[in-house]
Amino acid sequence: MVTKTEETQLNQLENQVENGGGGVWEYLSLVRKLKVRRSEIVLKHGLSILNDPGKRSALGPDEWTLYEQVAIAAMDCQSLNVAQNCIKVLKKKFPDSKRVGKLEALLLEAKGMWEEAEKAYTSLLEDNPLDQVIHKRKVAMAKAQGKPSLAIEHLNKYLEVFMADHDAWRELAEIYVSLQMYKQAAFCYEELILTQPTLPLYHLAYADVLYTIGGLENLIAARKYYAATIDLTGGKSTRALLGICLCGSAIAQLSKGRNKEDKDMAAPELQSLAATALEREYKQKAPAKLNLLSSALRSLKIS
Amino acid sequence: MPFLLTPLIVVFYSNSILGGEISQRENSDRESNFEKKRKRELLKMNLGFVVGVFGILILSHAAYSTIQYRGLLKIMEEEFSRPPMNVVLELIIGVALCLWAALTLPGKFLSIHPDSDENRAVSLPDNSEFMIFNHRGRLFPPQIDMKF
Repeated sequence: MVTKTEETQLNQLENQVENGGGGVWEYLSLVRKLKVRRSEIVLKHGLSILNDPGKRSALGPDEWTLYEQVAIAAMDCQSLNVAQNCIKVLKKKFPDSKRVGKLEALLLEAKGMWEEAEKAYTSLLEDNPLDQVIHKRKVAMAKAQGKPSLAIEHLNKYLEVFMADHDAWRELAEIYVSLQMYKQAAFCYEELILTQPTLPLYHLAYADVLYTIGGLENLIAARKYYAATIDLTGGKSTRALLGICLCGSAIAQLSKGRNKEDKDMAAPELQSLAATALEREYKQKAPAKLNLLSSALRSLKIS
Repeated sequence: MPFLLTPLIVVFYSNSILGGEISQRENSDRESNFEKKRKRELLKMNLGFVVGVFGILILSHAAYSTIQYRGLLKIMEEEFSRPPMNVVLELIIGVALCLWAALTLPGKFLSIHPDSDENRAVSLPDNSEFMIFNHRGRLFPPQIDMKF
């Protein structure tokens, strides 16, 4: 979960590193801490540190973590030789390590040798049957081979054992959405909201899925969750504001021929409030696009 | 009182040690804003510690004076209504110093608003445990030199 101050800090460090200033090690540690995926920059600057023996010895025991980070970044950027070299160095230093074993299996995956990777993971699982990372890698392999149903099966079995793993629930929801199984995705997001109700991003994703499913009750629920997102973020979420406007117009369209009580569901005040907040935000951040926004909102209200 | 000088000596000694440590750990990178902020925070914490020690000493001195004053009043057989004005002044100064030290010593306070910039979640962590390497970037390897 990356907060706004951490994001600005990350961008600042990234600019500094890319323009030749110092602070490479701080940038790499921040990327490791926030678990973001910045493989090219990590690879380029991590390699520059590792190739320089003076800087490498200045790191001390953190050198091996850097080797691991650069190996994974190299695999992501498809520089498999670099990754192979890093893993060789790590294997020389830690010969019987499970962590290095996982890295080797990861390299097999990156090369595309699925059966060998499968065999490596099963052998690693024999030693340690409750290793979360290896179970997740099996799901990722199924996803990479283009078998989402197999991935869903593995992930469901994993979640029966480790029910509190938020990343796994999120991954399952995203796979369901990619397969257009929206009801199951909504279930996953409900689980996430139950465990972490203060995180507005889950409310937003759930509202998006509900809006996609459609139907009057789902639209009303979606509007409630968009409103909850706005509440939790203090009005800084543009997507939630737009969501309220769209929900309002969709509800008004659906309840056109109904009687008076259903018409009260339209809540026009909420929609106009959201529209004014949106226009204010656009005027501040992107004044060139304000006309586009105003015409779009006007067309929503008419229909 | 000479024992008041000991916290000052402790502070200067620890500052010199800290200064030596930081100059040894400086690598070829330029000293960034974060290290400067950390040094400033450490100095402020040291100052807060010294001020806090001073405040506690002044308060204990005021307490001792009040006890002595009560003993004096018992000899003269008078009622004890409140301590003399200079002791009250000493009390107020001691409380102010301790208050300032208590607010400075813990360092930076955290924000409690859920939508402040420190607490607002802008993005969720990219699931690196489910990361796949079979993406479109596979066809664009970067042009950098090999290792070793």
